[in-house]
Amino acid sequence: MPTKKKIEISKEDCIENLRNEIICRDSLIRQLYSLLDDEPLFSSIFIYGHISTGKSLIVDKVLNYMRYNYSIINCIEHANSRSLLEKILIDLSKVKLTADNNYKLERRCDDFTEFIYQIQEITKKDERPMIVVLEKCDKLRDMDANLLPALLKLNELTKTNICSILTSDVIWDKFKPKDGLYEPIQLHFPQYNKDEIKEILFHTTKPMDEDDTFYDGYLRTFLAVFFQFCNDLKELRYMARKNFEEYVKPVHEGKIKKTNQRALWNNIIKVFKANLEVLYLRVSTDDFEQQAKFLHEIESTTKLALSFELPYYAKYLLIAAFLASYNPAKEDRRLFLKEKVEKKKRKTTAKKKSVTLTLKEGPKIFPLCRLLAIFCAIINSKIDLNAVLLMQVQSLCQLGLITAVGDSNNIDEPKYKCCVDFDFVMVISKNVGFELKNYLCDFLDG
Amino acid sequence: MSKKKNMAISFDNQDINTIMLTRKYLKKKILYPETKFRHHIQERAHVLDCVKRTVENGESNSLLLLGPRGSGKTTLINSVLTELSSTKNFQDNALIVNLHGLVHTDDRLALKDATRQMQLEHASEGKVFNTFAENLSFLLECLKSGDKKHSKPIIFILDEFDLFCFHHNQTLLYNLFDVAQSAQAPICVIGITSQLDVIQLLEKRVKSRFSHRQIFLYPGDTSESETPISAFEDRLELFKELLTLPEDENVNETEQANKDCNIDPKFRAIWNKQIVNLADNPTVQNVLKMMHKHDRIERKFRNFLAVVISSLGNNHKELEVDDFVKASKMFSPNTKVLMLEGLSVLEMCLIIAMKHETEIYDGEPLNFEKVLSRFLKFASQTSNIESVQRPVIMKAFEHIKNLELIIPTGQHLRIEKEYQTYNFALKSNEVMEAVRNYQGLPTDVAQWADSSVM
Repeated sequence: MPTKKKIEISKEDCIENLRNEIICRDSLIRQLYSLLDDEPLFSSIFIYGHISTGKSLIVDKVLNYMRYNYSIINCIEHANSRSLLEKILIDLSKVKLTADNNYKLERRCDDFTEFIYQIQEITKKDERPMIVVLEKCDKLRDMDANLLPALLKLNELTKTNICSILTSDVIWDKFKPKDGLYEPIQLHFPQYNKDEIKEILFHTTKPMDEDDTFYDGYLRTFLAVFFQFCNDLKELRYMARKNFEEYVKPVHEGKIKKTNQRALWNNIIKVFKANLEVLYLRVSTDDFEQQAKFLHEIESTTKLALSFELPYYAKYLLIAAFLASYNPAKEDRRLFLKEKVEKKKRKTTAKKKSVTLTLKEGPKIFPLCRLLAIFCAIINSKIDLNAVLLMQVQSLCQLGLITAVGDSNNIDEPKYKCCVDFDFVMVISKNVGFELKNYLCDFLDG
Repeated sequence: MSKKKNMAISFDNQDINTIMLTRKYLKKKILYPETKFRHHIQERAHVLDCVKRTVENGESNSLLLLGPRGSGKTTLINSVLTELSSTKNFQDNALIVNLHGLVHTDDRLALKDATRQMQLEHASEGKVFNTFAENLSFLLECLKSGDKKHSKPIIFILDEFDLFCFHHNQTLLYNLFDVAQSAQAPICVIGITSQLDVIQLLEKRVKSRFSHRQIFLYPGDTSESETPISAFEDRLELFKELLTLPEDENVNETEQANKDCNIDPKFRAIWNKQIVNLADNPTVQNVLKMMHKHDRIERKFRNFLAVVISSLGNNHKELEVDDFVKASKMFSPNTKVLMLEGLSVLEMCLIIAMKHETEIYDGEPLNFEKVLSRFLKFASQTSNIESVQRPVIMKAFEHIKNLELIIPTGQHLRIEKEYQTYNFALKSNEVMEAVRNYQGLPTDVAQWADSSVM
């Protein structure tokens, strides 16, 4: 049988061919190919691995090479099962959506019964094996309950030669409902290791006119800094491109020789450090300088805190809000009463254990009256609570330093939450000469 | 030694066509278990008897086939139907209607498809039915042939039977069982489900019409074979049976079998010998034993063999021990650890911090701030790990969240994301295994993971 022979030869051919585009993945391509090669097909294959490990790329290229009738669906694009199923049918039946058919399928596909019927129709016309690829298949769990289990055993339901490939970065264990599912064949795409990443970066990001060994040296220094914090290929590729411009600048200007690795390293390390801080944040190179300057200003909390130029009472109000948010209400009596209350011994021993670090638990909600009570307790001078003072609470809200929580109709007792962190309030309290740490449970007990 | 060499040569000399034929044949044999049904002989005879009585005597029956997932329920039904369909009486007379709980999600759809499968679309076109029962009885009426007194027997197969129980008022089930019980027309209703207590889901009126004929399938039940053997020996038996090429070329009379089975007898002898050798190999036995301990489901085992078989190819002409070891890795239950190994060092550090945090606070939910402060405490002590800005660590934290290694507790959804609480979904030993396997993890981090903070 000559046809058989042709198929078999093409397996190694496939790897050979794809090597031009995909590197470091030979064994996985071979594995996937042999799973998909030859009838009968498996009913479903589940491919899992971290993002940017080449799942979609390899599936696409291999299927393209094998000339199967296939459809690639990204589940994130489809909100309901109808749009998902219709997309599969459109892809598999090769219908062109034009004005003639009003951009619609001949028969609308609302349910799975219709879907199966139409799949069977397609097989009558096109006898090639069919593959349905569902990327980000974790989203399928949020759709109709019958969708995922049914897609897993399409070949049993349609009685045709069809296989579904699901890809995701969530492991299979998270898919199982209580009564179990049909188990697909699982294929894991491991993360690239450092050398593989280097090789891929070398192939994808090297400028055309650059010297090989020089670029190799650059990548080594680059990965020494970045690899620890990020092994997402996409992000590294972006960063490698971005930083290289800075790296070669002194060479182009003639300040440092290409061979002087040490000097280059000293030159670039500062840029690396700066860029490490904006990893994943995708601040564009142009505004990076500006952004950095701005960030630097904002970064120092001192400047930020003082930039509001809050009035004296407002500062105390903010401190009071912070204390109300991060102290349990039960402790108020102990913290703010001027004369020390003797606590019952029994109570303290029982309590100590249940105290958790409130600073790490996040701000709690407090009512307005508690804020005012604490405010009066911590401010030294005697004041009268008038409307002008209460206005300050509102303006703190508008500045985003505290937020009103809950129903805005509740004018009898509005509730608030403090939005600024410890460092910020520390600056404010230093500014007015207030010993913040003396009034925080975390510091008193811990 | 010389014998082995001899064999290797003969494997090499094989034409690629033979290998491909073998591969295709074996894969088919493994993936379609209908062709040869093993075990559950008694249960199979029971089902066969029921269906036969409907077809031949016009009796009405209803039965439920229960068993855990992958225990061979659908296979059993299919094998019964294949056997029956070879008789002439069955082909002429009986109609099979396949309904599937996942596909036919409500009764309207189920009835529509049943009509199609009975080829009665034309008859029912243009008719208006007031009730569901009316529609169904019309369909059954249509099947009554003119001259004979009795109508055509129909076999309803309801796969994922439990899902039909959730349909509105259980109308379909009620009507089917009603027809079966009152003998309006000869029908046989077979329900297949993996939910063992499905009978509890039935409404009272439906339950009373059901014949209460329940057949249970237990996986790995070998009690009926002539000589009682342990479950694992049975598995080994299956292993040999599935991988050997049949001695007699006419053993399988399924379609294409004749064509596919034209394998050189010499090759077949060598191949079969190799399989016997493999079955005796301690490494292979170990692999099989491990799999058997994890999972007794036969389907998984079949998938495993099919994966092994599909590795055959041009430059890989015989099965080796290594193939089994390699394929068994694909079926290892330790997917979490594999994913952990792919995290970056920073993310790994966060995972370790979470592990410590959960251990110290005994499974209390954690939030970003807690994890961050634990990580920063560690980072300040070692020189190898440099700390980065908060947003970068936040991003790493969110990546872990997206992988669903930590699960939101669902309380206080309106809280800031730093303080959103999560449950840690990994076990301490899983983290430790990942730490051991992780390549290029700084020693400080590994030690940190090891140290108990208590």
